[in-house]
Amino acid sequence: MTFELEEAIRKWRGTLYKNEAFEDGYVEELESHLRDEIEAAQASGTDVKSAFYRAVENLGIAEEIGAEFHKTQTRRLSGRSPWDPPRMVPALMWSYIRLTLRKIRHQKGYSLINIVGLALGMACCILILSWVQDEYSYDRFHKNAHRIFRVNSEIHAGGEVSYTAGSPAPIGKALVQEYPEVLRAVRVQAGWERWNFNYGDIDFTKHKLAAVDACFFEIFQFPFLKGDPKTALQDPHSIVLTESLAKLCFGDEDPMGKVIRKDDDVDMLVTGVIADIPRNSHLQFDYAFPAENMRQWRESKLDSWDYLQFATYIEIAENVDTAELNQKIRDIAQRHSTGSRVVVTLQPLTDIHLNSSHMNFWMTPYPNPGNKTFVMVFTLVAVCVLLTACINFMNLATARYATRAKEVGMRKVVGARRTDLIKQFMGESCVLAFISLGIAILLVMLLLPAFNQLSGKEMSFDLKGNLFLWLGLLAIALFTGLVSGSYPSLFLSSFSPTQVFRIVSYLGAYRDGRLRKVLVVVQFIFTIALIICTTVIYSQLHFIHNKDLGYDSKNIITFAAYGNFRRDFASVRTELLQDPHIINACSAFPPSSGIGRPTIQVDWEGKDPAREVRFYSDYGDYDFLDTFSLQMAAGRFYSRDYPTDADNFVVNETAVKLMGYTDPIGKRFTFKEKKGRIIGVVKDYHGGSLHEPIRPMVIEHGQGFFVCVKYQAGAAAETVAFLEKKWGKFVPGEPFQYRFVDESIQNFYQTERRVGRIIRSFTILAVFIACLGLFGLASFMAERRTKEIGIRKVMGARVGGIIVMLSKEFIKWVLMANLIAWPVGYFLTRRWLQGFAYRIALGWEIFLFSALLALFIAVLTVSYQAVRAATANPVQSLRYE
Amino acid sequence: MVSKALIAASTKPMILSILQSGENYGYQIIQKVKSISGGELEWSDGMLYPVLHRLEKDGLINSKWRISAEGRRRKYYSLTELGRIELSLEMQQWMSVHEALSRLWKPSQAYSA
Repeated sequence: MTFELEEAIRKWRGTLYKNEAFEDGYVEELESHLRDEIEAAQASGTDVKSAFYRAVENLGIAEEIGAEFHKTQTRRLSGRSPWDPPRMVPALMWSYIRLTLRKIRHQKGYSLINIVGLALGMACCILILSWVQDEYSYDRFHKNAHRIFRVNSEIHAGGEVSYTAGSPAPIGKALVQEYPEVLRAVRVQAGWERWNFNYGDIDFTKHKLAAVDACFFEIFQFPFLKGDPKTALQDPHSIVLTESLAKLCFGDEDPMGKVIRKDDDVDMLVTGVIADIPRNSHLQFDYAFPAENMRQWRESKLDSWDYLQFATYIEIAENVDTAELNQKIRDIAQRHSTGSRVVVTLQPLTDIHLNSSHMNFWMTPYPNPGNKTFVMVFTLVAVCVLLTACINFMNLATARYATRAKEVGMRKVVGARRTDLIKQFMGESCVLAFISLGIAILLVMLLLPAFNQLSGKEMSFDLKGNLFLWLGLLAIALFTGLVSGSYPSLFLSSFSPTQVFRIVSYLGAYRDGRLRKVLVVVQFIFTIALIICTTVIYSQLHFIHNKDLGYDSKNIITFAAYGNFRRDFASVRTELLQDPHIINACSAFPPSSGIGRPTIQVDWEGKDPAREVRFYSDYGDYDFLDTFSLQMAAGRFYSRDYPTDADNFVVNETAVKLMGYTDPIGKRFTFKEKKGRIIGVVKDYHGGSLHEPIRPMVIEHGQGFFVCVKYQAGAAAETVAFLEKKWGKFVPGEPFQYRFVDESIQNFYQTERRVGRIIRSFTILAVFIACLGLFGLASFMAERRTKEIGIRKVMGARVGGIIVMLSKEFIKWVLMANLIAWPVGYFLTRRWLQGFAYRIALGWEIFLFSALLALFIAVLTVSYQAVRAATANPVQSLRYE
Repeated sequence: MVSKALIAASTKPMILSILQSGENYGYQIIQKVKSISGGELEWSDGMLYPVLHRLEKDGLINSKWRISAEGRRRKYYSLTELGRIELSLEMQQWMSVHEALSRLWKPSQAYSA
């Protein structure tokens, strides 16, 4: 056979190409070298064949050259060779996924517990986090939201500070003039109803107004559908409607330029239509008009520094140090109006929703402010529930590891590296997590309407166009997958194959699963803490509901005193009492309308002149006492039999205590420039909510803004019908709006009840998830000890003894969890309870109850498996291998 | 015969020095080393190329594919500015080693100095 040089070189090149270190250019260069060498050898008389072989030998071994080439490559951080596939997608990914699905099919019960637990946890987490996100989203839709601030007032008087969202009416103008960094200011009253606007038959009495300055729509960028935000409110007789109100009034006609009537005498021109106000705006209104109008209508004192009925919002320049600005403007009210007790502070617009619950909103009602503590607690709950689900997953996975240990051993023997195994287990749990995520999303879609009802929100689960939510969900799934997979994968992969195959050693390791115990304990800490929170919230709500407020709130209707109800109440009252269902009626400020109006203009016999105290007052006429079943502590109430009573006073017990009288009757008392004597002391009653302590009160004799009607129990419908008729007679043209006093009281605690319901739901879910985990663990343990139980039974152990043996350990864990859950629960609930002036004591019963409940649930969960294992026939368990 | 370690250490200055007198390709470089050292320095031919590639990656030399007179594609290497600086540094180092050893190997001079 003759030697073919070209053929030999081709083959040689082939061997080089097999080595992945060589790239095209490298091989070509080496080939060029080889040919030079061969030619040189041939020139000196060597034959082709030996020239070729010598040249090849001189060049060296392909692998060694390849390794040298590799070294010249830039070193990668991972140390990965350039010819290895990138690690983001493990080579065996599809195999892992196939394997996972096979595992799910083979171990249906276990997989179901795992997936359902995770899915529930994730669904909870998604729901709560979307609630939290919604709470934080308030007012952020204005592009310049970060530059808008509300000017709040602190009123320092009588040794107390009260906070209000209103500020001195001229303050906006002053701020703009004095501080260049304040660009614009606007006064706002929004949220009121009952203004008498109308368009033909459609009146606006049930729609919310906004009385604002002209630049309102330049600062607050509510989108205009028609009209120009800059000029819409320039004319004092202009009005801007929301889309739905415009539609209601004009249908499909163009609303621009239409005339809306106010009080049948002033014409307002529609100059703009804005989109409906988003739910997550703290300003809510249906129509807006210039506040200047109110000068005529309400004699508002728009230039008075003592007039705090408007909220003022300012827009500041970019990059202004707000802390510094806040300092500079603190005393602006005192500078402009000597003796003013108002200190102003700036509150960022985006902070208003979550941080306004301590504020009075006199003329800009904001009935449902958020609560930062709740947001915090809820976030915590979300994380806890998700962690509980993750812990479950980890527990079950590690508990089952004995069945996988051989697989790990096999994989190691055939060459799997530890990183491969970690990848496999992580991958497996990630696949499970993503399956759970799918189910969780379905669950969220299913549960969202119920959750909206629970939380009073109108959230929608819009996956389209909500990138943030999508990424959040994926992150949650990945997080859950990785955390859940971390322990089993790191733990399992650490065994050497020899360990794994020796059954004895892994049983030992299994018994020693200390981390798993810790995980179960942590899980129960969450659960018990949640149970404590729920119990405390519900006990407090129960306490509130049953607390003797000092007056009878049942069967009383209140409504605003308009028309004759105000002008000639005495004769109206006689007319009302003719109805057999009506027991009593009075004109007053009902206790359910708040804690009363504060004043420091109060003086009494023997008062230290330097002392400044705050008294609160409500109006009440002769029948106030009987209508609300109030009790007298001393003296008597205002009576028609004593004509001078109108000049005297009835105070409450707290006021007497404050003044330091032992015998207050007949003492001289001055209240708001009215001088008189104390004729009676009424027993303390709670005006307003139980968040507030009882204040020193004066019940001023006179008519209140409300008519209160006490009717016979069970006659609510008849009474309302009767009153409606009378209302139509005395206040024609106005709709009859009324409230039941006991309902108004319940409204004080709307947020609490809502939060209570939410926390209760999630506690139940968390308990359920924890139980799922416990159930899985217990069944696994019972299964592992089948033989032991069989032998014990053969040796004479009783069923009861075996059940105790199997449950003992779980009970120990739950008890241990209590030790930590108690202080956690105590800390959380105490903080919440401090928001109530009247609250339940955090007694040991609550903690004991929570502990027993958790224990009961745990035992119930475990005992099913324990009983099943204990009553099994030993013949079968021992025969089975 | 020169030891492997010393060959490895001296490869870089050797290549840079050869390229100082103009561009060259792998085979020629090896031939030059052989003839200059009188066969004392024996390189495994294949090992030269990874070194050349590393030097190129470090920016000390440039490479260019050319067609030679015989019509063969050859990769020619030439010294860069950085390579020249590197070479002068290498020269100083090798010279100081050389001087130190020379002195040590002439005892009388070394001790008197």
